[in-house]
Amino acid sequence: MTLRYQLKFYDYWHIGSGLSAGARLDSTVIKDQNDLPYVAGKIIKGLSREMAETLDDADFVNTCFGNNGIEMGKCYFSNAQLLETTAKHICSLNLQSNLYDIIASTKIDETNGVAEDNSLREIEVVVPLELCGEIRDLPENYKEAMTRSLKMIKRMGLNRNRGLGRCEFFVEENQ
Amino acid sequence: MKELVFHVEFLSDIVLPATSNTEGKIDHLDFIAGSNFLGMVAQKYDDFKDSFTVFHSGKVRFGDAHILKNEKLPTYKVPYSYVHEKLENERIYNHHTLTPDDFKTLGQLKQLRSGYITKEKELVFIDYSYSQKSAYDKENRKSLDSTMYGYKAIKKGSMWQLVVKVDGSIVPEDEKLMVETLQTSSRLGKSKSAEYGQVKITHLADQARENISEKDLPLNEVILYCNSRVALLDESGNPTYELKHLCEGLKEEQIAYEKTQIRTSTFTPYNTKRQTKDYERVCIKKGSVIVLKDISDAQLKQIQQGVGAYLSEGFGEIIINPSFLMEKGFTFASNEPEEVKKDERQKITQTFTDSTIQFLVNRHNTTIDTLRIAKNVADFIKNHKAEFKNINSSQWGNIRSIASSNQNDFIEKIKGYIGSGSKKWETHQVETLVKAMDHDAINKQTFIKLLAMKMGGKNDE
Repeated sequence: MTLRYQLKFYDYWHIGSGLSAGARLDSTVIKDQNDLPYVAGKIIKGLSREMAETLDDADFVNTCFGNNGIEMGKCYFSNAQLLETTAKHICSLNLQSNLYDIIASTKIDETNGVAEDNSLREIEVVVPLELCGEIRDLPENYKEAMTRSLKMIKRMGLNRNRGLGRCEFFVEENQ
Repeated sequence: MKELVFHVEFLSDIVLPATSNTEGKIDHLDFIAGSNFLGMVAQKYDDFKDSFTVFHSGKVRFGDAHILKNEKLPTYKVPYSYVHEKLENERIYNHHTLTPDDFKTLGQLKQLRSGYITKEKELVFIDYSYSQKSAYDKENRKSLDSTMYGYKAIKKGSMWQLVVKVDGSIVPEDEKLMVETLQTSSRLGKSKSAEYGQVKITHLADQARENISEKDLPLNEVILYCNSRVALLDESGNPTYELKHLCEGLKEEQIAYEKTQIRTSTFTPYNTKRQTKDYERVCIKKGSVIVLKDISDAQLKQIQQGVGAYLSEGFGEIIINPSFLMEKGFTFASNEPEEVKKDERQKITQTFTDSTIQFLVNRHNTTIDTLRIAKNVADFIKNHKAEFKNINSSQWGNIRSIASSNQNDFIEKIKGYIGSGSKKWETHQVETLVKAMDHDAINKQTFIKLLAMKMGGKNDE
């Protein structure tokens, strides 16, 4: 079966591309060929696996996510992307640049309480959005466990312990 | 052999490494190796009536898939015989057509090595995306140290053509099962359980492969183009690069080495079923051009039927006298220039029910307003800088302070400030500034604040 979900972000979020943008940005977010942000399927898979492992169901984890080089997982995790209609509107109106902001931060010098020299950095972040994605080839009997795993994910991406990336998964009832 | 044509559409990015190494610099393929498709079908190995014939005899050949230009035109790896003058890449020459005099005239030549061409000699390049990955440290909930790696993937949306050759001796049931298995297979390449590797394969029952071979040429000089990798074996079955093993009875003096352009590679295939690597293979690369002299009809026929080993995986496919190797000199057909979108930055007045779109439209309009104010400020400074050269920075600072006070009557207060005080402004200065404030219809407060910040005083220069 295919399990479809909505992923709602409630804060700025940053899924890094691993690339910087010269002097302007220290880290840019990952974007598709239309300059739209997305959450890579590998990230969804990694985070949901982490949550799945807390459910104490080894069969579910090994079947759906794979068994560390012994067996390939049955499920396919797509990227979580903007709804197709929303994405089309954004592209046709050329609004992509409005999806992003820049956040600057520094490190505080503990001895004197001021910003440490050369610690200023700027990262690109995405405004709160609603994305959608799917998990294909999910065995029917693991639907509930997978739904629980997804719902346990509360934040993702860079600085998710420092204010970024608060999110929630909503699994579609009518699959 | 019968040829079955399939189209492969990339529904996600696809990672196709050229090596099974997992560390160091990883090169990536610019085609889909036939072994990928053989592997897809081999998942139903036990369901075939005669599995050995289908998978091991070379009677079914899963060719390499090449990208289609504009989703319809077949492409071929740029032949290694294509050269151009150094620093002059407009005019392309076929190396095997050049005479000793040409070499003297043209000077230093450079070989083309990347990209694909269509029959009409349009250049096509594969579009890649790159993303950085890392393993996950569950203990500390961060990226695991020293585990960073990257994936270079062929971008989704492209269309590729695959040709499977099937010998007449294959039973129809096996052929049908092969076609069905290919069409129901949806995963390709590395990392195909998340993010990457989704494809849609469609069999085009009524489509034949494009013919680019010019057959009616004399046999005293035959040009062979490697449309796939070629893995030659010597008399003892050992891998070799020696071209005399292309077909039986071929002698060294029949190979025109001076006109031949080949490149070679080695790789170690990974067998997913057995979860281990196979023996290393030595290959003549796709796009290599070999010129043979005075070969017989029988030898030519043997070459046409495929040369060397691993035919089932699409190796050893040779095109004889392809049309794109016949001309001496030519220029590539020009691609249609991409339409460059103008960044006009107009305000959007339309309203939308989708809250995300409306939010982005509002942000867009705010940006347009800000840019317009900034332009007005820049124009004002450019035109009136000299007029206000006697005004101190502190006075501009006070004006900014009043504008920032968020009071409704800030304009009146500014007028009062510049119309009186210890350093009274001249009448024309007051008039100019008041006119500018009244003229700007967007946001007077923002305009004055920005102007006061950017104007600078008489001591600032």
